[in-house]
Amino acid sequence: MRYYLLEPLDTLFFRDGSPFNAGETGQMEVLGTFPPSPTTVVGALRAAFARRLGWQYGDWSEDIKKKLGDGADLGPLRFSGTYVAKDGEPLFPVPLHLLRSGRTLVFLRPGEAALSTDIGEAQLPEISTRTKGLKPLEKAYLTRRGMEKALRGETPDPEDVFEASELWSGENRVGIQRDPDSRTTNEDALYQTTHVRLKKGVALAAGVEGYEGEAPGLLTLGGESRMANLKPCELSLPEAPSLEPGGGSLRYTATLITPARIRDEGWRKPGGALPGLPGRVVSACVGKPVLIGGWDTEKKKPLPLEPYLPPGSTWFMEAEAAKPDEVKEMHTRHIGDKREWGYGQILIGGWR
Amino acid sequence: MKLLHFTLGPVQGFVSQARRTRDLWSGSFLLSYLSGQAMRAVLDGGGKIAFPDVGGQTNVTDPLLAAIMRRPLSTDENPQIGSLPNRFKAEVPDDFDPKRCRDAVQSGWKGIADVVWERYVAPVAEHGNGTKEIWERQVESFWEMSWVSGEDPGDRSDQRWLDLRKNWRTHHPPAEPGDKCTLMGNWQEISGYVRARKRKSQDAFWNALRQESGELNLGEHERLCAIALIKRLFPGVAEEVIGWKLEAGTWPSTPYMAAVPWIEEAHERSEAKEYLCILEEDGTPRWAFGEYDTKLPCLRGAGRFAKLDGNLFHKTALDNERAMPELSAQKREKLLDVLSKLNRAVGHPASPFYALLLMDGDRLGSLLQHDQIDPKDVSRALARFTEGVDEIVGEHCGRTVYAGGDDVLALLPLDRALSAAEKLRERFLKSFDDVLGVRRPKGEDGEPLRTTISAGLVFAHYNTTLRSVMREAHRLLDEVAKDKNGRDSLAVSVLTGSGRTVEWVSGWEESPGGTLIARHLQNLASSFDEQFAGRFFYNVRERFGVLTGEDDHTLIPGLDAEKLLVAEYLKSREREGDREKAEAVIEQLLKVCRERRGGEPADEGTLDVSGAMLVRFLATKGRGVER
Repeated sequence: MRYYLLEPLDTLFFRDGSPFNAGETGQMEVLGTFPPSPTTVVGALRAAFARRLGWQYGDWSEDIKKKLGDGADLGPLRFSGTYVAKDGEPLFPVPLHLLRSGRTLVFLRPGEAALSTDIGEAQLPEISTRTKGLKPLEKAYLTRRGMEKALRGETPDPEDVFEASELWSGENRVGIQRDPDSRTTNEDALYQTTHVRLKKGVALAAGVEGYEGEAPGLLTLGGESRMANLKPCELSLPEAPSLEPGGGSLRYTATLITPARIRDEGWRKPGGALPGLPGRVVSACVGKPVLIGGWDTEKKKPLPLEPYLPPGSTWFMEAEAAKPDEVKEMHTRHIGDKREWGYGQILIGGWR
Repeated sequence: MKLLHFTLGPVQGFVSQARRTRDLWSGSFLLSYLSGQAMRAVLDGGGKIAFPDVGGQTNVTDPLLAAIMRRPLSTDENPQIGSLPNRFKAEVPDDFDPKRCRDAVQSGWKGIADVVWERYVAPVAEHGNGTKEIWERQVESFWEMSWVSGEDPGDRSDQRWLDLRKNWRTHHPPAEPGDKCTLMGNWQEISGYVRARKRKSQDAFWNALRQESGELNLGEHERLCAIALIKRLFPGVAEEVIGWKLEAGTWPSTPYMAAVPWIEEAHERSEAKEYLCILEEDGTPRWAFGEYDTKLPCLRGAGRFAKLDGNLFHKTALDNERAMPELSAQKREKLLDVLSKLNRAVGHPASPFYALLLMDGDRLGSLLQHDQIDPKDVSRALARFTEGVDEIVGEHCGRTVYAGGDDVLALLPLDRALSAAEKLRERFLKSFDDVLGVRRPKGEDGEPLRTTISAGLVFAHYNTTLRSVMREAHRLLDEVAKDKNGRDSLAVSVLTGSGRTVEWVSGWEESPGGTLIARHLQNLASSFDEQFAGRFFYNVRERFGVLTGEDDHTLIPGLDAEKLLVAEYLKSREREGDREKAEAVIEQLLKVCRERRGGEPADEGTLDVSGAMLVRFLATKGRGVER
């Protein structure tokens, strides 16, 4: 896998799903999201690769299709990410079973006693301390070192945690639409968007397999065709910890680092299963779904807005004691739909 | 008996996605009503509600639940305010299946949805593209319900059950194809057409539905999903489905709410009568009396002038042909002329800003788990608090959108919002004092345990989308007043169409037990005249902002902020400077410009210019000088 950094040269804008039609409801407001979905980044990368291969506009040539696929078919291409990177090092969404209050970090673990709930008898995740004000770090990132500690079941150092606000900030933009012919302002065409401005040293990163050509350099990324510089980089994902069986079984965690769409119901019930992962679900810390859609340029219609499991979601799994290798084999692999696009990448950790 | 903890959502995803004030109210009401359905299932199943305090099966004391049980209270036969929170704790017989609560919510919801469908949508469904399928998918899958039940653990750890359950979010909405709803952007609009390809068909569907529902219920560019449409239309079918009338038409619009203090001053002037005469000279235009009865106590008896559409009080709205398309150019000109005269007579134009107040008790979960506090006392204190909310909001000429449990959401005029917040807090403290009395236990610090409330107050320009205003109120309350300032705090911001211009937060009191900080703000605001306030505070921001960091308000050591500010004040006043008066004003001003965490005295080593900018806003009421 070759990795690339996408360094923005400007603010970036990735819109959410709200309708955005000119001339409606006074001032339109469109919120931005960040980081963008893998689909957005893969789309930008493929377009940039195609340009490098000679494409300018219109349909891709057969030669390009052979190298870069066509539409939803990625051909020989495989992606991983999108990751957020700081000073060239990747950051990872904080696993949702890690809570913080001030500088204190604490793990949630499945409770001893099962409670009767709407999802069945569940050992819901809980904390063992009485520390007040503990909250999940839903908008924060861990350094690779911090993530490796978390995967080993050790508390990361507070210095390994970056809040989203330390990495980027939102910027409201008010825009007006102009009539290109008359060069006057269109009526009712005031709109507001929220761009993101990445802090110094912060970039996006993605892995690509199957494209051997040169890096295209500049590319447009996201809405309003903002520019980013694409450059190859070295990027290492966290290493898996050693997994040790105990009491006749092997306990491990599976943490998503990119959004996942898993159609099987196993992820949402005690005793369920995750695709490709040995053993059963004991408990989980799962966040609110992220909704990912887009625009189908060929059919000129919106792609369905679908719910994805958010990065950071962590399942507590229990497998047969003899399966550590099989479990570790899944470290950094992808599960669920659209794996080749970078969705559903997981990291394996331990819990006792 | 066993314990049951039940919760229904999404709250913010349902209530906050509003375009009109009535959407906010009807979303809150509907959520509360559905929560009441789940409570009713408990009562009907032989259980009782342990939290909140709503009374028992035979003596329900909550007006909404009583009406749901078909035993309305004589004091409030047709409840109009959502008073039931979206989560509750109950004691239920061992064989009680919590699915009964879920089924009751779904059946109540479906009952409403079916009538809305039959009345408004079914007649036009044939113009749509799969409208029925979209409707059913959305109605079926919208609500998220979770519960945990079990034996009473005896150590109050059951209070954490729902929080534990929330660690594992399992509700996923269905995939939504096609164009999205203009109110709730994650759901497909029900015509089923894609605008980029079938614009005409889409417009035809919505025009037909607009005819069925009326322009007032469905705006020109609104294309809604089933959920938003039910929220919008259900007040019209309430009597049939829930059994009593809901008065959706009384909700003041945001331009109206902003103009309230001005209407109070303007309605008796001769120019106001002249204004009405011009409007009515060739018959009474129905559209012009859009706010036929806003039920705002301070405008009772203010006559027809106070029933005018809120846009008619603001020059910019009146000037905008698209906001008032019914007006002829000639009449518009005449009205603009008289409005200017009226503004001169009053002394100023109407402010374009109104207030949205969101309040929420602090650390309720811990309070309920406290081993020396009887959870029943907490429920009783909250019920006492809730009972008084609407009266306090009314006294401040506002409208209560929601008041249940420890939550309050209210719309208020700009000039009374701080006082309303202060009074509501006072009521909250008193409710707990009355109930706990001498039984109030000691906290970890050895002092009597404090039961506090925090508030997020947004002063919003009437053009700002309600969604952004609600988002801002939640941000202020949760992130600024609670997380950042340690709770027991009031956070305020000013929101214009282009974003936030002021953000300020403080503990409620100058120092524990001292003067209320909101009062300082009000006194200061009235001590500055509009023009001077604009100039002086602008200079303060320019010059004093640099003396501290942007996020850190620590002053350069040894710097005497008071002396510098007095000098600035005198300089701005030029010849009319009076040092003694200047010192008095600046002393007051500094009280709102220090960092002050909830329940703590101010940090004298800080200077937060946003306090001054808030005073400037309040003094000028955002009229023309807001940048």
